[in-house]
Amino acid sequence: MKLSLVIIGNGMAPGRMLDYLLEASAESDSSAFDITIFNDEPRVNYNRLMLSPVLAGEKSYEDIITHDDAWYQQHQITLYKADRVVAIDTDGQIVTSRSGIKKRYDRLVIATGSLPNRLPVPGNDLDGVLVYRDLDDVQAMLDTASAFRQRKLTDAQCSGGNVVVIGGGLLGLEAAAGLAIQGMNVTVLQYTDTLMNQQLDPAAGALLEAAVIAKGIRVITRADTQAIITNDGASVAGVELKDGTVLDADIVVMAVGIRPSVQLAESAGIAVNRGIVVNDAMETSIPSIYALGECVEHREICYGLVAPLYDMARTLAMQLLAQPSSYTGSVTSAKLKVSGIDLYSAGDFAEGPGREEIVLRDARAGVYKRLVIQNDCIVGIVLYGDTSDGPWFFDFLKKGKDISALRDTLIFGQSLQPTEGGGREVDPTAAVAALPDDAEICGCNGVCKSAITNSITTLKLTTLDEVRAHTKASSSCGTCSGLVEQLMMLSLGDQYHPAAVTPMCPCTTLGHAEVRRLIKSKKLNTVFQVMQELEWASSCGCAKCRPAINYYLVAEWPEDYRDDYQSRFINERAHANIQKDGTYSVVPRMWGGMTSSAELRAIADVCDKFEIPAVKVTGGQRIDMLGIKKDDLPLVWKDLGDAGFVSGHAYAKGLRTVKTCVGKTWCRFGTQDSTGLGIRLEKFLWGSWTPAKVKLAVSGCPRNCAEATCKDMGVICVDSGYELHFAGAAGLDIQGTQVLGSVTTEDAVVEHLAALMQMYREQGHYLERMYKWAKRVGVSEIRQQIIEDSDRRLHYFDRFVASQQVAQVDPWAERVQGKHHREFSMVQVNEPQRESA
Amino acid sequence: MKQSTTTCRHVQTEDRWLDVASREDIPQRGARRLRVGDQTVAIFRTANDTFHALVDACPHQAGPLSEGIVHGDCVTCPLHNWTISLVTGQAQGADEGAVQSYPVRLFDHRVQIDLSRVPVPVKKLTGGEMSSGGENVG
Repeated sequence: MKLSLVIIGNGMAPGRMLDYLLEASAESDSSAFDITIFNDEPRVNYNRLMLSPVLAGEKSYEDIITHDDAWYQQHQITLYKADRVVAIDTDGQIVTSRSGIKKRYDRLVIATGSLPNRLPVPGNDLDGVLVYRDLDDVQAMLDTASAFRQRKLTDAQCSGGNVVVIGGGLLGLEAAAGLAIQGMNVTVLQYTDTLMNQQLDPAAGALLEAAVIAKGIRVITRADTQAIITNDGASVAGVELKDGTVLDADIVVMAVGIRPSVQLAESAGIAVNRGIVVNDAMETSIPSIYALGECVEHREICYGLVAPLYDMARTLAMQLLAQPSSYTGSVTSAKLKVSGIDLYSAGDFAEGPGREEIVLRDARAGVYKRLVIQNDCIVGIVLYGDTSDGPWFFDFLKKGKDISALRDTLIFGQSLQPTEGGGREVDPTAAVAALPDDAEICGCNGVCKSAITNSITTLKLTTLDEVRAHTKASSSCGTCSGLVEQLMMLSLGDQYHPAAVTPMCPCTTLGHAEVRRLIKSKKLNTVFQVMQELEWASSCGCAKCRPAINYYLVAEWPEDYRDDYQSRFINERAHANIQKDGTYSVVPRMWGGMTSSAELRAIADVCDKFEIPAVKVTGGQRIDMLGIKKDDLPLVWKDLGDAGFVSGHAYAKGLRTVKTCVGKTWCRFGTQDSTGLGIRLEKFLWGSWTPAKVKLAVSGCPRNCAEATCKDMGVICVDSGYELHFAGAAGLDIQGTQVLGSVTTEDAVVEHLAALMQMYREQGHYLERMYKWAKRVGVSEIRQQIIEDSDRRLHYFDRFVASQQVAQVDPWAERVQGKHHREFSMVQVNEPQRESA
Repeated sequence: MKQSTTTCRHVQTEDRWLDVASREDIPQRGARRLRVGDQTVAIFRTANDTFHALVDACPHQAGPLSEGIVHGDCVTCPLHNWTISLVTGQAQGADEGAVQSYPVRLFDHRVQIDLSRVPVPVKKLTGGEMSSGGENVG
């Protein structure tokens, strides 16, 4: 007598399980089971992985059927379509379906799959809010797209056709790409910083984002959905984000993950955790009941990819046939099914003890590859742009093969493994080779790449000096010398040996100047893009290069760049100065060193209220409050702000203080209003970030009580006007200032010093003080550009003013308003088990 | 080898895991501080979304590691640029010393920490110069 095998669910896992079962039965020439399947969906078994090609119009439903009606008949399997099991009587071994069918079982297989998550926000059940799970969902999307195309035929200008996809994971991106192909205007919302953060490291995520955007899809990261909105109370009209952004939407697709469908099993008393708990034999906690697929939890893991389901299917088929077999878990790999985007990830690509990474970037080909190695084995793989070696690497990973013999060439892939010795050399000219001909190399003299390479070839130039003489490239500030030399190497090959460039850090072979120029020439605008395009040797940079790159991007793209706070030193993140005990000091601005009784009273009150243990007058003519707990900072700033104070940027690579003397208002020797000019300069120059700190002083006469001749920029007032000084230092090095020139009006002082500050912002290396920059570039070159060349001065001035438009925001006031509030609060757990602050 | 189903359930409900934050409360390449008695524990999240916890005191001069720059699986102390492994708590490179680490896990998008180990005493402060990242200036 045959045993009764009942299967609940007809997805890919039980489908594959049946294949194995029938195959094995065929071999033993006896069908051991009388099989019954209950399927909630009204159709036969199809390949769910192929839903994306269906949505993209590349395949039809018929193309993706794996088991058709004839197959079920041939194998004498009873399939109930559109009928789900609603109860399991585990004592009587009987299942009951929604339509009332009762079926006794000897063996029961639960394969209820998973349920798509819905964000718990208002409006998540409106008409037009879809998930992306089965063919019905795909059909609903196709219908909407088709209706919009029809409307467009009659009215080409018609609005609409907007789709918002919530979730930038595998499914969300596939849905977005398919809908974009169907002609819809698609926006993807991603809660985290990067797309597919579950499968990709941030470097690959940034590349993916650029590729998705290139497909005409809008991407908003760090998007926190507040509500799905409606105009008529029934159907969806848009999505509102927590930051107030409202996006129009005809349909909203929620692709925010899946959870095992466990309700039926749970109500039958089967042990359930996150999924239905199974052991290595795929048995649940109740005898004769098995489970497999996305509904199960095996060794604390729930799987959502197909490969593990197939492994489970094989084990379960063997178990049902009473042949010993066990499932011990799977290592998974993921691939995005969007045409034109190649990415692959597998294993565990997090760092860990004894782990190291091998990174290969090829900027020209848009390739990023990263292998994570532990104990001479590959444990994690991320490939972007070229995934052809994915299976090859994955084989190493799965089998735990030793890679030590291949280590040096492994990353180049299977086909580039040297037959004997050899391998690929890193090409130092790769970055300049990838530049377009019209890319500007020398900013001072406006010389582009092709002008330099053409001169080298046609004029047969062989030295840097010759190139400078003929093209003017790198003849001014010299910042681009390294790039010009690389172009010479590119043109002349082995005949040219450039001077060694000191790399920024161990992550790169490029120096600061090269990185800056390439950011501009290649229009790079995120930290990750810089690392990719300039072929960084690490996936995430280090504490040396990240702050530098972040500054270069801030300085280059003042309006568009989004500051990367995690790449800033703590003082600039906390907007206060960290002290050795982890407390902070706070220095509000006292413009030009002037204060009043009201200000002093407010400071005194703050000191009392927050029990600030130390108050000190600084060398920059203002007041430092020391020993403030980080959590108190926003509260201290609130009180200071109410009294009219703003941040003094005592922590910033930016304008710090402008020290003044009392000038001709009080002093019998004073020649000009040095205090007023100091205040004016401070109010004009504060805000924009600079390579290193910038301190100013204005003295009212040559007696120089404000000590202006040891500052980054200084003004000495004289009877005839103002002497401008720069490049002084009184720290690690002591150095008197250089004279920049003389001007006759306050307006001219402001114009010249702002232009000088901008020139330094554009050319200084990160953490290079102004006197060091001046030594590198040459004092006479700076004088020439700021004093003699008035056009150039005005251009610097205009760019400085443009930067100030966005930079002159008091960071303390912003944080009092709640910006980055988590930076300043402890995670609280004293309350029972809950939440962060 | 069969795995008992009750073991699965037991581990995940065990009391030693303290639920401290949602995953998104901690920024990538960043940290948040957790007060435990009179000590502070720093919980880090790397670029690759792994979570780690260390006593928030550099083995050098007890600088707050939670305020450092997170890169790879290391953090660079904001006071004197020592680099500490987030995984082992060991100082990297030529520097020697270690700080107590705690097991952290991610469970259902929640960050959980096991504080059942006894923390080592933190070294007392001594003098020392400040890093280029942030000297004191008025």
